[in-house]
Amino acid sequence: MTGIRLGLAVLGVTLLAGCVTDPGYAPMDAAKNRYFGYVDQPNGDGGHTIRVVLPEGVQDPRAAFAHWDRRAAELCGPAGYRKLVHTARRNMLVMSGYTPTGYSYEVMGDAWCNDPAYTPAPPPAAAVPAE
Amino acid sequence: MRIVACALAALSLAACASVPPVPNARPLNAQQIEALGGTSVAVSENNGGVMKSWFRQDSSAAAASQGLLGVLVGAAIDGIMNYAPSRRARGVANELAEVMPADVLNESLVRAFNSQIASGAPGEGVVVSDVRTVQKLTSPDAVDDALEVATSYLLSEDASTLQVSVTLTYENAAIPYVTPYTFEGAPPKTELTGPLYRNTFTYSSEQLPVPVLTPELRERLIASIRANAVDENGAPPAEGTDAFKSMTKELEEANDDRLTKAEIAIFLAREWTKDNGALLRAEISNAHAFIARYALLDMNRTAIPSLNGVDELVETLPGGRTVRRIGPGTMAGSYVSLPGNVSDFVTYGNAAAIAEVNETRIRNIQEQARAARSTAR
Repeated sequence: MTGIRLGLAVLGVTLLAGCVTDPGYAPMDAAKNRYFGYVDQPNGDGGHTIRVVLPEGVQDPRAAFAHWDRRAAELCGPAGYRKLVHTARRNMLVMSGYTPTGYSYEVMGDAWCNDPAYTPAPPPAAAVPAE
Repeated sequence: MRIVACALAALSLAACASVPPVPNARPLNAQQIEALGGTSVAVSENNGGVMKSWFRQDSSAAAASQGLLGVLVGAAIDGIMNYAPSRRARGVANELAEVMPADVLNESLVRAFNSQIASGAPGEGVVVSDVRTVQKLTSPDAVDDALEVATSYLLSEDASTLQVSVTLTYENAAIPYVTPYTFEGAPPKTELTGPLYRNTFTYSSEQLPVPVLTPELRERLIASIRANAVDENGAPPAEGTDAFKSMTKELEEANDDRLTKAEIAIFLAREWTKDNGALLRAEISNAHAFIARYALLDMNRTAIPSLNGVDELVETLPGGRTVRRIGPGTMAGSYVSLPGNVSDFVTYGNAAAIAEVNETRIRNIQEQARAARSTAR
């Protein structure tokens, strides 16, 4: 039984090791197992809903707010934006019999561009290694 | 401990994966809306009042792996760590109950649904025909042919935000629930029974600003910690007791340069109770108005939520408050009313302190129910 427990613990460490790295300012990409970073979508009201999730171990959790603003600036360009940040929460892993531990910091809100016609530049294409 | 918790979480998720998940929300279809028409609302009497969330340290599962000695040591450490936070959370809940008794909460919600009666006319889909209350501690069964409203009021760990959560369900013995989803093989058991209609509505209050730590504030913090530790006779805790160790730990933390969520709560909790709970009343009134209004709108909405949906901005109110319908996940289709300019992270703990007066209320109702059952036999 102890062996199984130990095995599970090792599995947990391995799983966590792959996902708790601070992604810095980067988009989420579930296909590449990147569950932290930023993601955005049209909000149905002429603006964008932006969500930033950073892992618990991040040095400065408030970086999530900074990343949110950075993404809004990218989407809206030099004319700026009006913002409504409606959610900021620390998500916890809560299990009976264990003290809750932090899992992630999440910031979510809407940005409406002052210049709705602004089109953000596409992200740079991935470099192709020379043959 | 964190490692074991995460490993267990991974295992739990693996176990859940065998049951195909579906959204929690269950909308009505057009025929059901027409069949329901005028519908009675049964507000489940809230007995817990406004509760105060806090984080309970619990090492029981991890300590159990170390044998009896581990269990004893773990329990002792948990006792020290939880003594002051639980006592303080209870104190806040007591103060909240003084300005906002559970009965006042229930009356406010009944008023909010009563105000919806005039807004609907027969033939316009589901409308509110009448509003009553039901005590689920004595009558736990579902009320047939009535929209049941169950509420929960919780102050965040740092007392900066009040969250009002409501679950609405409607059951009708004559109209059984039929799942709108298709499954490979047989539907899960949870999709074969239960309410015809179900959804959740969550209201988050405006977020109170976090105080800035000044020398004066630190003195007040230390005074509050000492005051929280005294016994019923006003005596400070004796050295060596859990109360003393807990107080010592809190005093050490109070002398660092940052305010923890629990420390912030010491200052912000007062904001909710001052002026006879004016802020609390205003937010609860707003929450009830949101819930009653959107409950009726949602009961007349037939869209079937999907796990892969997209969040929808439903309404923007003055001051930046927004009402949204959750898009993805099992909470797809549920409604949230959120403040406009949030500036700090909020948590709701893993424990909720109930006021003593409400605990007594619950106990009395349960005892009366037991006595009634004995008499009936």
